[in-house]
Amino acid sequence: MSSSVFTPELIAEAQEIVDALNSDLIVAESEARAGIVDPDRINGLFRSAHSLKGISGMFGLSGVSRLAHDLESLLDGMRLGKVQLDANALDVLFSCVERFGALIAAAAEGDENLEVGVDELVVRLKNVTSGDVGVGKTELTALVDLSADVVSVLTEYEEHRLRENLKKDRNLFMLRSAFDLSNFDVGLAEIDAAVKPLGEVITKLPSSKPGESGTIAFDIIVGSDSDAESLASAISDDRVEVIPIGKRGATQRAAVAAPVAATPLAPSTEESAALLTSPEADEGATIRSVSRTVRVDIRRLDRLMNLVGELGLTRMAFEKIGEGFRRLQGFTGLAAELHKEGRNFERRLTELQAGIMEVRMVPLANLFERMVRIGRKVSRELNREVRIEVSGEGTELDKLIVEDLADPLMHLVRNAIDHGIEAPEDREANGKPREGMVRLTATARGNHVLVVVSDDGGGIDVARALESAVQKGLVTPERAAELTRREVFNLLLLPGFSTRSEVSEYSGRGVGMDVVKTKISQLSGIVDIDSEPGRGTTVTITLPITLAIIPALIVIVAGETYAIPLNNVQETLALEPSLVRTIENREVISVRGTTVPLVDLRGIFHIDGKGRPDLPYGVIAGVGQNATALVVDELVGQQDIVIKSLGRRLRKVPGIAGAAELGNQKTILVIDMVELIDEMARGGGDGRA
Amino acid sequence: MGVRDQKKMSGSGRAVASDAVSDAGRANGDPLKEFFVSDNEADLNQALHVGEAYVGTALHADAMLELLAFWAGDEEYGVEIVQIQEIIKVPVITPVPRAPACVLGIISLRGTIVPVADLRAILGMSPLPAARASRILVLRGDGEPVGLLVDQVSSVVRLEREAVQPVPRTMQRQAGDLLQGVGRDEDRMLIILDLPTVLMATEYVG
Repeated sequence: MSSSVFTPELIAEAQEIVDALNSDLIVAESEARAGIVDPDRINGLFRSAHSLKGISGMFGLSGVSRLAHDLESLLDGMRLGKVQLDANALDVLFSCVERFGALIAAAAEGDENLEVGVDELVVRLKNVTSGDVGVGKTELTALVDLSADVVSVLTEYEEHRLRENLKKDRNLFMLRSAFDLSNFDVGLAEIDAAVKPLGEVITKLPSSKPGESGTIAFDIIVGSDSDAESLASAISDDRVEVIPIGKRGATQRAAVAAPVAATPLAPSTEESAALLTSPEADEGATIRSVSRTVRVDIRRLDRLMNLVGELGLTRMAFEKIGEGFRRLQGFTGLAAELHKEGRNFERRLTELQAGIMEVRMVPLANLFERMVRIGRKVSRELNREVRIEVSGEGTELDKLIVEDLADPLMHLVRNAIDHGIEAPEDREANGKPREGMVRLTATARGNHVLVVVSDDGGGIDVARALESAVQKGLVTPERAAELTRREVFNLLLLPGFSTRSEVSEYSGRGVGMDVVKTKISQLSGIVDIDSEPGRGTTVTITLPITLAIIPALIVIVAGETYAIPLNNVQETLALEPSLVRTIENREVISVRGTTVPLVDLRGIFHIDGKGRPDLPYGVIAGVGQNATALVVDELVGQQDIVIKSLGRRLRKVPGIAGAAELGNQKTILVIDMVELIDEMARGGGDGRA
Repeated sequence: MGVRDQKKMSGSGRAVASDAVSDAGRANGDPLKEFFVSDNEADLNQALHVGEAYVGTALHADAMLELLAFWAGDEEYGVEIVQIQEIIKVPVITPVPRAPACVLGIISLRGTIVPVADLRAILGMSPLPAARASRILVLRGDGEPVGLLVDQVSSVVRLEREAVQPVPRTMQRQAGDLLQGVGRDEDRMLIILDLPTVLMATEYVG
């Protein structure tokens, strides 16, 4: 099969199905813990496996297809009550989801025939499936008032649901109903809606009992905890007759006026067979209704956003022309109108911009679910008992940020389990519950989102971390003695730091917290670590909600114009010469008792041109120990900018986040304050004046 | 002149553009330079466009090499026309600190940020400020366009592939990797650039 057939859309679709499988599985797991098995949940899983089998089979993904086939069989067994959803089954199911993810990722890379790990899982699936839990089979006809003819047309699944309802000691009813041929589907839907809150519709069988001409009759079998009267009043439709048929129903039959003998039902004609509402038909309907979403390549949204930016520029050009008119005699009226319409246009433009932004926003739920899955796998393989709790998963972030957040977040979750959570025995010895806890939370804070990964593990050993940092030459012994607890934690974010000498698979394949830090910085985010020995570690990531359009401070240094993202800026102040002192050849100022180093772009960017003016300004970015003041010659003002990448060739130039266009046809650079501050902290650059 | 001829014959393919150019060349002492230094870049860009369509037909693409010829210093260079997206006059370039020395900065080309490099600097010549005749060749550059500042654009040249010879040893010493070969068209000599290598110089490496 040529790779051109397996398009990005298909990959995305397959991935969506796997994500759906995963989220259903997570819910199913927690329900199973509480002793609940929800047939809808199992059906959902079954449907996902079925769809996955379909698309993978069609496009030649043999590995996915084989696995999906056996998964489907297992889930079918569960639907029919033949296989229990126990811990063992859950493990296999989670492993399958994991494997699907890997196989689809490989397919996206062009490796469509990958079958790594499929055989092993297929064997495991078959083992679980064959572990049939034989249900005691009493003939249904002995349990309910249904004729053998009716029972014989029930599907295996319907029979299973019927037995399940009996097991729960529910009342069983037959709703005998007759509807107009023209709109019987409406009638059936109404019954569905009325019955759902009270119980379960087990099957809808077309009745062979001839109705009046132009009508069609159905026998609907329902299981419910309610009695016949409340069911009848809920339905409140005189075309529907409620007939108790179950064991408990039998005792109540007396309450219903006429004892009704079960009418033999034999749907024999082709028409009625086609009307049989099989589970498959239901599934088709559900899948169709799901596809009311449009999948869009995010680059298209980027292009739209660019266009909006350019429309803004065009509008400014109009405004300028309008100003020209205003100075001409006899045009002032028109100029004023033009100005007014211009304002209108701008408002619409802002709305358009907000609309596009909204489309880019996605909730974190999907990402968090992936993390739960990974966490589960890691803890199993490391023999830790870990519960992963998620909250705030509805919080929305720019799709691009969410994508780029996956790796660092995964690293943090692994770290929490590998380095944070202690072995179960150790935990017990320390008076903690055996089961460790890793929490993933997201909270919206204005234009920022906080994503927190916390664990209740052993915490960071400050002394050991310091020792290691000194050993690795990341900090001098003298300086080490002065560091605060927080500052020590910040050392963990430096390249080349790792408190464990051995590199296990889960300590992140040889990469450390510095990679997390770098990735988050690329997203204009900040990483903060806090930890209490014996109580656990909390890593807080602060992210802007979008990177597409941001408010920025426009400044001029040595004749060049730059933008500084406002979310980095703490404050601006006039740099009176008397404020500036020199410590060890470096310029500093004192801001409310804190010593803040100055950075002059003239130095670190090697800009020749105008020297520093008599009264420059300081733009302070970063907090606490990280605060740094950028020396700027002029503050031009605040403006929303669209940050554009410098492209593959120049993207990695340090200290520059990208470029932006200003109204006057001018392209300017956007300063990456986070990177510059880092550079200063590492003593890099030549920040000296 | 060139413009009219071109229009008249457009539709018959690539050959048109270069014929138009050489017709003009014969008519006057050095009208080519005049023509390309003129403010009407659309003509050459149109030639590029025609070339693109033409090169698309495999028959000729195999045997013939379509080059855009231009000057840097005292040498005439050529790059394959399919590699060129368009030719523009030199706009205001925003310098990018810390970028490789040959990178003059970035420009915005209809909303896309395009880095611009100085070919003279890449070839090891002393830099010159952009002059009236200077142009930026916007190269396709593997999906991300890159601008290359050249002193002057001269013409479109068709060469048989066989007319391209390896780089002479004397030239290999200074910039051999950057050169793909030397093309000869009667007594004219075009140094053909190896674009992937040339463009490597524009990449920032930590």
